[in-house]
Formats: sequence, C-alpha cells, structure tokens
Amino acid sequence: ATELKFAHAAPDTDLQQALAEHFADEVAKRTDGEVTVKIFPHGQLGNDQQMISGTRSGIVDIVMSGLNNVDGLMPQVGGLLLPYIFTSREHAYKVLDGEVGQSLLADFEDFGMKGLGFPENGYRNITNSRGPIREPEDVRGLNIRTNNSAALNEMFALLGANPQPLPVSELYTALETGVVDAQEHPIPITHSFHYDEVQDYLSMTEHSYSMLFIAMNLKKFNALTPEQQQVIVDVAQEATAYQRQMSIDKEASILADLKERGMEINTDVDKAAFQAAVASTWDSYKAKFGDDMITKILAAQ
Amino acid sequence: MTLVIFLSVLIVSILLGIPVAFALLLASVALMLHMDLFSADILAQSLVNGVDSFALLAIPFFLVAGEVMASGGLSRRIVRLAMAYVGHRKGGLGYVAVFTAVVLAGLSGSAAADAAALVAILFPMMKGAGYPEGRSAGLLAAGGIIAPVIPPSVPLILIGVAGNISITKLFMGGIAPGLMMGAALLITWSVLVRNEPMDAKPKADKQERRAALRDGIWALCLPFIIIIGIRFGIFTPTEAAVVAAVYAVLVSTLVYHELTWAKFFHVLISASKSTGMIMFLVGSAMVASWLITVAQLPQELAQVLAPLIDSPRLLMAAIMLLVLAIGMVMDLSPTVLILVPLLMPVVRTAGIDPVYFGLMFIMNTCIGLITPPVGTVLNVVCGVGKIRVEKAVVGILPFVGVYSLLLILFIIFPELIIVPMRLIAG
Amino acid sequence: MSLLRTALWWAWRGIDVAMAASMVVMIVIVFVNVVLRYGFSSGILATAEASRFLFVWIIMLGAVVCLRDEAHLDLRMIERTLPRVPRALLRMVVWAVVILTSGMLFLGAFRQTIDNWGNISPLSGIPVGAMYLAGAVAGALMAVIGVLRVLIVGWTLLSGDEEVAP
Ligand code: NA
Ligand code: NA
Repeated sequence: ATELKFAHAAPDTDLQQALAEHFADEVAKRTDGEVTVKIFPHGQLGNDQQMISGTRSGIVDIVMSGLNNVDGLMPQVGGLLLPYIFTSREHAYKVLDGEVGQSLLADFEDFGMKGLGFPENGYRNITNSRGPIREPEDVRGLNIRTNNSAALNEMFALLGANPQPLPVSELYTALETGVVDAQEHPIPITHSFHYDEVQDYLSMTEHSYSMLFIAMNLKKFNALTPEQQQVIVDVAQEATAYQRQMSIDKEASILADLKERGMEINTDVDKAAFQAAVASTWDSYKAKFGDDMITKILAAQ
Repeated sequence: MTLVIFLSVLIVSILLGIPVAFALLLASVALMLHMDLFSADILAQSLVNGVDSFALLAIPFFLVAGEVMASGGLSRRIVRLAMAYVGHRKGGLGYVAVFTAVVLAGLSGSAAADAAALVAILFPMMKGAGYPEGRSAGLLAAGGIIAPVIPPSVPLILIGVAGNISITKLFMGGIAPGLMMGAALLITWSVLVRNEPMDAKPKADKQERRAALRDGIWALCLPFIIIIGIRFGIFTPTEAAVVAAVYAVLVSTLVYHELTWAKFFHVLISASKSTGMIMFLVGSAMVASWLITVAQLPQELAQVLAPLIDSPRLLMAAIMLLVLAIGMVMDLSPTVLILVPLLMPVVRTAGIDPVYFGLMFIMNTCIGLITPPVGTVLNVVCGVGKIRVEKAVVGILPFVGVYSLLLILFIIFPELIIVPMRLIAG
Repeated sequence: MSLLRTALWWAWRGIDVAMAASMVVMIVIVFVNVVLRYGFSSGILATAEASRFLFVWIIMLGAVVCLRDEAHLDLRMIERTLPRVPRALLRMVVWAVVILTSGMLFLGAFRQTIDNWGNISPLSGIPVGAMYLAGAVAGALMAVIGVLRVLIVGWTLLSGDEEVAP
C-alpha cells in the first residue's frame, strides 16, 4: 500500500480542500485502498515555494498551488497570467484542457513532477474603501496590494496605482490601518480571509483569471502500477472538473454573504476600457518570451 | 510513541550540551528514522524556507534599533528619565519594563521581536542597576508575550483564518486580557521585589526630572512615532521595526553625536550574529514541526477530547492542558495551524464562544513561547541578553505561574474576556 | 602557518563585512520603500523579495559565526562536572552531531541550489537557488568547523593538556 502526502495552502473551508477530499476518496476507492491520500491543508507542509520544491525532491507527494508560483521555473506560464487574456471561463477551460494545457502538464516532467490538472481560484477582483471601480481612472492613486506576478504589477502601475507586493499574512492589518487601501484576489479568498471587514467595495473587474495546478512527484508516480497511474490521472481530471463547477456554483452564495456582511458589490465595470489601458502588458511579455503562447491562447477563443 | 522519541532525544541532547538548535535537528533526524523518512531534503528545505519570511524581518531591525539605542546614548537617557520618575520605588525599572511591554504590544504583532527590543534596551539597564539577572530576564520575557494578545497581532490573524473566527472581534477582544496580563505582571513584580536585595534610589528633585525629560525627549519620541505610524497606516508592524532602527541611528548621530562609524559597524555585526543565532533556532524548530505535522501527532491527541463535549468548562480545561503541553515543544504558528482547525468543530459543538476560545488559545501558546525545551521568546531573551537558559528559566517561573492562574481564572469566568469584548466591539 | 592564519582572519573579516553590508542594504530598501509609498505613492517592487534574500544570507552566515564563537544557546551543566576524559569524549559527541546535521543541511541545500538556479523570482530577478546557496554554504562551513573541533579535542586529549575545550 502507498500513502501520498497531498499539500495545499488554502484553509480547510476552501474549495481546494473539497477537491483534495474528493481526490482522496476516489483514489482510495478505485485502488481498493492500495493507494491512500493524506491531506495537509493550510500550508502545514510549508509555503508555496516549499511545497513545490518538496514535490520536486519527493518529500511531498502531491501539491496544489497557484500557477503563478511556477512562473520562475516555467516562464511560459506567464502568458496565461496576463490581464484580460481570457474572454470567458469557457475560453480558459478550452485553453487549459486543450493543446496549451496538455503541453504545459508535460513540461512539469522537466522539473521532476507529473502535471495532473488545472483547477481554479477564479477571477481576480479589486476591493477598496474609496468607492466602486468602474473605469480605469477609478484605480488611479490607490496603494494596492499585489502578488508576485510581474504582469499584474505592471498592470496596476500602468493604471496609475501604486502596486505593493506585501506578504498576504500582513494584508488584513495593512488594509485596516491604511498602509494599503486596496487588494485584488479571487472572491473566495476575500471571503475566507475576511477582507470584507476592512474593505467597503468589491468591484467585479475580473482582470485576471487565477488558475491552480496539481502536480505529483514524478518518481513516486512512476513507481505506481499502470492501473494506479491511470486512476490518479483520471481522478485528478474529475476532481478538477468537480472543483471548477463548485467554484462557479459557489460564487453567487459568496457574493450574497459578502453583501450581507456589509460590502457594496459593483458589477458595472467597463472591462473594454481596462483591457485597452493595460494592453502593453501583453507587449512586455511578448518582448521577453515571444508571442507563441498568446497566439495559441487567442486562437482557442 | 512518536512524541516520546522526539522529546527524549531532544531533552537528552540538550542535557549533553548540544546547542539547542542542533539538538532540535538531531531530534528531527530521530523522527525521520522512526517514520522511515530519512532525508537531507526535509531538513534543508524546512530550515531555509522556514526562515525566509518577511514578517520575521522585524527581528534583525529591532535588534539593530536596540543596539543603536544602547551604544548611541538613547537607552542611557531613557533610563535616566525612568529613574528620575519611578526610580525611587523599589524595583522601579521593572515597572518601566511592564509599561514599555504593554505599549510595545500595541505596536507590534510579534512576541519574539518585542522581547528582543525589551531585552536589548532594558536588560543592560536592569543589570547595571543591580537587579537579579534571572528575575529581570523573566519579567522581560513575560512582558514580550503580551504582544500577540493585544492588537495588532499576527497570531490572532492566523487563528482567525484557521478557525474561521472574526479577526476584528479577536482584535477588540484581545485588549482586555492583554492589559490584565500586564496588571498581573505588575502585581507579581511588586511582590517579588519585596524579597530581593535591591536599593531604591532617593527621589529625584524637580530640576533633575526636568533635565532628564529635556535630554531624553528625543528617545521618548520613538514609541509615539511607532504608535502613530502604525495606527495611521504609514507603515506595517514589520516596517515599524526598520523605522525604529533608522530613527535611532539619526538621533544618536545627529542629536546626541555618540554613534561613531566603528560603533555602528560593531552594532551591525553583533545584530547579525544575534539574528543568526535566533533565526537558525527558528529554522530548526520548523524542521521539527514539519515532521510532527507529518506524523499527525496532534490529531491523535485531539480525538481524545471528544467525550468532554457536554461540559464546556471541563473541555476548555482539557484543551488548555493539551495546548500547554504541545506549546512546550512546538512553535506558536504550527500549533495554531495544526490544532485549531481540528478543535474548532468540538469547540463550536460544545457552545464555547469562538472568539473567547481563540484568545485563550493564543494566550496559552504564548506561554509556551517562554517555557523550555522549545521556547522562541525564551531563546530570544537568552540570546539578546546573553544570559544562560537555566538562569532565565528559574527567573521566568513565577511569571509562568501567574499567567497560568490567569488562564484558570478565565476558564472559570469566561465573562472576564467576553464582557469587555462585547463592550469594545459594540 | 602565519600565512594560513592571516588568510583565515581575512576570510572571517569578509563574512563580517558581508553581513554588515547586507544588514545596511536591507534597512535602506525597506525604509526607502516606506518613504516612497507614504510620501510619493510609489515603491520598489523588489523590496520584499530582495530583503528576504539578504535576510536568509545574514541568518546563515550569522549561524556559522555563532558556531565558531560557541555562541549558540546550549546547556553545559553536566559537562562541567565530568572528569577530563569523559568530558573530552562528550565534546566529541556534541561536535559529531553538529557535523551530521550540518552535513545534511549542506547536502539538501546544495541539491536545492542546483535545482532552483533557473527558478527566477519574478519581481527581483534573484534565482531561488541563490537563497538555498546560503544554506549550503552554512552547512559546509559548520561541518568543517565541527571536524576541526573534533580534531582539536582529540589532539588535546592525546597530548595530555588539562583543558579539553572546545
Ligand atoms: Na500586538
Ligand atoms: Na515552550
């Protein structure tokens, strides 16, 4: 019997945990308990960097993390993280489940990992306390907390905001005291980290689609029987589809809950204007890594 | 069994004179062998990634600030000032220490950083004034762990997320127990100094007081700069540490003219060494925590609690004992992250107020920070104060005792926490 | 011999200077970022990544210097009560533990350095491997210190010196 350590950084109330549990149940069932999965949520086995390094060296067996966290290893993923690169969720699914996604999953093998699938965190949306964000002009002058994505930092600089890549552990207090006055995350994160308590407005800018990836240590994968390998691959695909669907279904209830907790939700966003204002982030990416990825993504529309 | 192996290797190694950081690594290696998981990668990755943290940057910055204050003339002036006003009381610097600790707690979210600042600034003065070393270090360590209870607090945010508890309510609720911890320290100190052979100085006259105030005003401004800076969002608690360091450098060069290049270089080396010592230990504790997590040790313990669900106070007492035991050997963050999600369902089912539970949990894990064998704040205090662990442990004992009494009081009368919380949170 | 001693002195001095310089750079970039954000609504994107990188190097080099100076926290009550020979043997055991664990740190961190040399931090451009390199360097230096201390203890034991420290 084999026991696999499955690590992710989300709280155990998050959909990522639901995915992991679904995965664990199905794998155990379909391998007659020969392969079991032990879940370590909440970054118990380390931050994203450590979970990914750990999966490469084999001290963690399976990792689920934001795709932006492998940007340094595989610069080609940067194309998927560009603002407004996907016209819809369906477009994103088509790309990730199609040729681009398949070749990306194969690329994980260069780093000792077996790529298994791309669940989602959802669209990134801006929250702040100054007012609803409808036009690019409404972002100007905001001190906004950003993650470590080069493209998103460039985007907010272009919009005249001041991007500040603070660690997420300091974000709540920073928003409360006003060190930064805005943040952008998929709404499940805004919800589970209670940013609504210190932010008044949520604007559905949907400026970037945040995807996750699941990957397994390659040696550990290859040590399984061909049947067990097939189970892992199949279940990962099913769990991904299951989690994406739940993510869509849950959006309405999260928004309702945020509203009830006192947030004003603004859906009136001029996305075309935003897209035009940040178009040069695509050019910066092309100049560095070529336009191969962007062409393929756009072709899949 | 796993816990026995870990603890016995750790304790025997420490008794044999192996440095605590390496003893932790050896105990981790023992766990690896026990779990059939021997790997240099686990050790190296947990250690290096464990110290790669922006929030912990506050530690070297406060170390630099403290050392600059010491060698740049700020500390001497704060001492003169404090002595002028409370020096005539027996053990006056101890009262200064508690007030400073409570003020610092309102500025920073990290017990280790607060303890480092307190010890770096106040310990040399207390030693210089002839206070018993162990007792003084104990008071400063106990003062340092007020930081995570009074907002802002990284651990309260952590437990809010891990247990799905309102962080605002945790913050509002932390003020009262934090102040009570400070009051408990004041009372304990006043009782303790009665039996200590320390001299009270003659009361300073008005002129002397005014001179001390005029001379010390620049040094005294620092806490206000930090309070205002954090409160009004000019900088984060981590950044406050760097502001303190820069301010201390500016005042000691431009105003007091006491910090020379040679002294500054020496301060930087000394702060780097202390940083290395403290943080290498943090990293080693992370290696142990990683293995304890994988062994799923705390989970087994949590299951034992399930039968107590019908009597909330008994359940609370049992949980507090469990947390105290785990807090002895584990760092605060992993204890919170591993135990809280497991305990929350039991706690909610038993009808215990989640905010009250969260505050009790953090207070309890904070006590673990100053108890051997694994106590981050204890180690910081010993490292920065250059005092032997065994001496500090004896000095800390009465304060651990009084904090435990406070916890028992809160278990019997949860209202002591809940009522002020509802008043402040509205 | 004196040439070796001079070289060693300069090497340790170099580590001191590297730590002090890193500390100053760390203070300056974090402080300047505060000033830029509050005063000019601007900032240095690489601040967090670069300061954490320097932080890890300071920690690792600082840990090595502390091992040289025996400044790490330890409890040496039992050792002091022992007679000469068991005391020397006990010190050898202590340093053997340092060699074992430092050696593991070196091996693991060295592998991570190689694996992550091409893993570029997105905002600062610093390879993640360069951070692990700090662990590898510290592990190697601490293991070497450990080996030298075992030899010294053994030498003093054989030569009949009364004092068997370190
Ligand atoms: Na605090
Ligand atoms: Na402890």
